[in-house]
Amino acid sequence: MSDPFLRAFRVYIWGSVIILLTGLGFFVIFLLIRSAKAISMENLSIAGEIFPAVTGTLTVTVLGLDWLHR
Amino acid sequence: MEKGKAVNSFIQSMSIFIIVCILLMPLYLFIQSIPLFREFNPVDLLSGSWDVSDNTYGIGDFLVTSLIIAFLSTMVSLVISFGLALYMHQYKNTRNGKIVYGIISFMTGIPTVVYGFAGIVLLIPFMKKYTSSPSGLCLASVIVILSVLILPTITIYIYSSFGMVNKKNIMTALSLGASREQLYLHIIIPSSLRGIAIAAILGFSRAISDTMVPLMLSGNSLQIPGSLFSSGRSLTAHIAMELPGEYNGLEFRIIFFIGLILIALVVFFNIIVRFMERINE
Repeated sequence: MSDPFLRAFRVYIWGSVIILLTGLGFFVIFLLIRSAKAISMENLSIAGEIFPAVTGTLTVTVLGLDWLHR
Repeated sequence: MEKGKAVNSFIQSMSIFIIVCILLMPLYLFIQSIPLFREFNPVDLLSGSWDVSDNTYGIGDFLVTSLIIAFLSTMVSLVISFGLALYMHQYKNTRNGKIVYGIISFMTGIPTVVYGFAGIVLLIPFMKKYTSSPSGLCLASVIVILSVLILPTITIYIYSSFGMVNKKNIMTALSLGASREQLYLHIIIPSSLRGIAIAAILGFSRAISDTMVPLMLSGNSLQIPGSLFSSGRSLTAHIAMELPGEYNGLEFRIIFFIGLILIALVVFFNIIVRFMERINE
């Protein structure tokens, strides 16, 4: 089998990975840039209020599952 | 022992319940479609166009649009998925291989609405600027995003089919001095052709049954799209759009008929997959 064909095969495999990573990376960077504009003290304080509720719910769920498992 | 029996009977009753539910679903859809069949011939419904003012409720245009979208997105996705599966298999024991596998596994869990959103914010402005589509909402946008959506399904199935190739053949090829590329081109890929075909069929049925992406990106016009940059409406998007309609109206009844058609399509593709898997065994 000719060497250029094998090289093309290798390029194709790496190309697929590069397409995937570039696409995902581009999307994540885009979201980060857009989200950064939305961060303000008001939003952060709302997040601060929600945080204990989320962690509390998680703790109760984990403890409940642990109790059921005994 | 008693506990084991109770668990067994619970599992059995749950299995029976699920089977009954699955069987009742198409039956319910068929019963709900009966008033429609009294008014129209099912063949006319399947082949005709949708024009409420003319009292025609054909879903032929939507069916064709759905098939075009699903087929082309499967073809696009298959090319990239195949390369990704090859990479993951080649480097399965390395850190890079594990990272790519992790990303692909992560992608299976992303909700379809996020893909649709990504299409709206990233792809639509591009399509609007550089293609003949005036709004950017066209089949090409749907195909690009759907091909990303079905990519993990196809990749993981192809990857697992590579893993099922007989180890003796691989060892023989390696002992004869085959390079890594030659091993894939002459042993692994030819042995996995059925697996690749099954992966494509699974991807196709995933693409044809997706609702959110066609609804958000296709433009939803009532016609067979003239080109890839034209707007169109898929079967699933039509269900979502007609849901707020009057319950007893014929326009609403057509939803049940579309549901029946979608179930029939998915069952048909599943039968092909099972048949191919049996041949593989």
